[in-house]
Amino acid sequence: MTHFQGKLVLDEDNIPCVKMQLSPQNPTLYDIPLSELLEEFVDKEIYMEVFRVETRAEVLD
Amino acid sequence: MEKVNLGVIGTGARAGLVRTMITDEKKRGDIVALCDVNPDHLSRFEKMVETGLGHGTSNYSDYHDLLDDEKVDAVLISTPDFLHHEMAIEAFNAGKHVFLEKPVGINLEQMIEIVRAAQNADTILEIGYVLRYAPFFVGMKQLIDSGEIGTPLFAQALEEYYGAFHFYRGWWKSREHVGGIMIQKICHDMDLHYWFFGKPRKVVAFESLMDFKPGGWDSDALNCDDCQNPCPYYTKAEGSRTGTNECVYNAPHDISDNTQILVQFESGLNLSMGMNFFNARGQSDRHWKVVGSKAELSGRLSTGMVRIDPRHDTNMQNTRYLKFTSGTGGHGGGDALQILEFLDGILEGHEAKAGIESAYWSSILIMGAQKSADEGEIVEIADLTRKYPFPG
Repeated sequence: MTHFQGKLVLDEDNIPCVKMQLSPQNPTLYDIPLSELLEEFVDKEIYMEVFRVETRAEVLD
Repeated sequence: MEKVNLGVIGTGARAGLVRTMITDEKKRGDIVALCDVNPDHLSRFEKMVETGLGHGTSNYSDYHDLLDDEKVDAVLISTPDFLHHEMAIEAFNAGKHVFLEKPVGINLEQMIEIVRAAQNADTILEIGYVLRYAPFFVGMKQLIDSGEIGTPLFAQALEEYYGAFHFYRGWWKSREHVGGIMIQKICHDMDLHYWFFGKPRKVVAFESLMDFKPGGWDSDALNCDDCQNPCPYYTKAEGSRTGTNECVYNAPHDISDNTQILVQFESGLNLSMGMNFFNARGQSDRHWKVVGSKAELSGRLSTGMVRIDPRHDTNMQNTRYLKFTSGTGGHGGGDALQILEFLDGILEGHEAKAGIESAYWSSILIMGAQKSADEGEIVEIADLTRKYPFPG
């Protein structure tokens, strides 16, 4: 099982990537190709859902 | 008052929520006094304060002495549940503001006396319902109050907690000390349900012991030291949260390991709330769902995100996740935020979110549920509020 969350972008070669941290300790965001994220599932049947995430910066008191 | 001087009664694990005071840029409070009967806990906490705040503390082993300390404005009471009642009342009598770790006593009689003492005192009560400060639940509340999901019509909540490590050891495992597992564990959730949906009308509940009993694991040992077939809850006594390594299956205890509660609120909304301790570790979480007339909310506390499905949307085209300004740390970030809100309340002269009303209604609801399970009857909330009316 894997799950990930981040902004979906296209890199300079038009490869879809997810902008995400590699570890909680390192705040830098890296472009990780989708193919890399899904590598372990190649040739396996998978179930995938993708939804939009909105960030709400403020919360009510 | 420019800064609140806090005394901590009970310096075990839950007292750790004051760590935020050390890093608080506004310096709303100072930790000036500590009390514990366990010298190791006290010494560890004292070192944490010394390192973080650069000064020592007045240390006591009798909480009366801490309450007599005139430099203490407010106390955090984070002792075992069965001590909350007497300590909270004494603290109010001593004129202190009180942050009381949940639950609000272990039965209705204790709860109403604590609430009365808080009403009579000219000081603030805040209950440690940290989930009111977790961005996940604050976000849900925002979505409900804004009307974005329409009228709340139905709700379902499930808490799965891989917590047998401490719930079947030490003082936690005894009803005499916790009042019942619903009161100990689900008071948080019932406070949130009251916050979301208002006053309850009736409640019915069931509980049982299905797994953490003799036969649940292939061993007859009463503690881990004597066990030839260690289970996943194996621990050494030294350094464990409870200080014991009693067998979670075989050592005597009288609390259940699963419950189901049904509540009908005055609005007519029906809620089911489940809890169990024998879940798969990967499912340990609070799983919530609120169905509104316009949209449905769902999510897991650990993700910090709430899913919103518009009611009549076909093919989930407009389904999305809302991520709220996230906190970090225990209880979905709530642990870090609540103590600062409590200090703000004292400095600004108002209750924080989980004050007297929350203490009363959450307890009426969860203690009503425990009563239902104990007596095997539906409990009408009006019967409880007649017997234990809200003071004031």
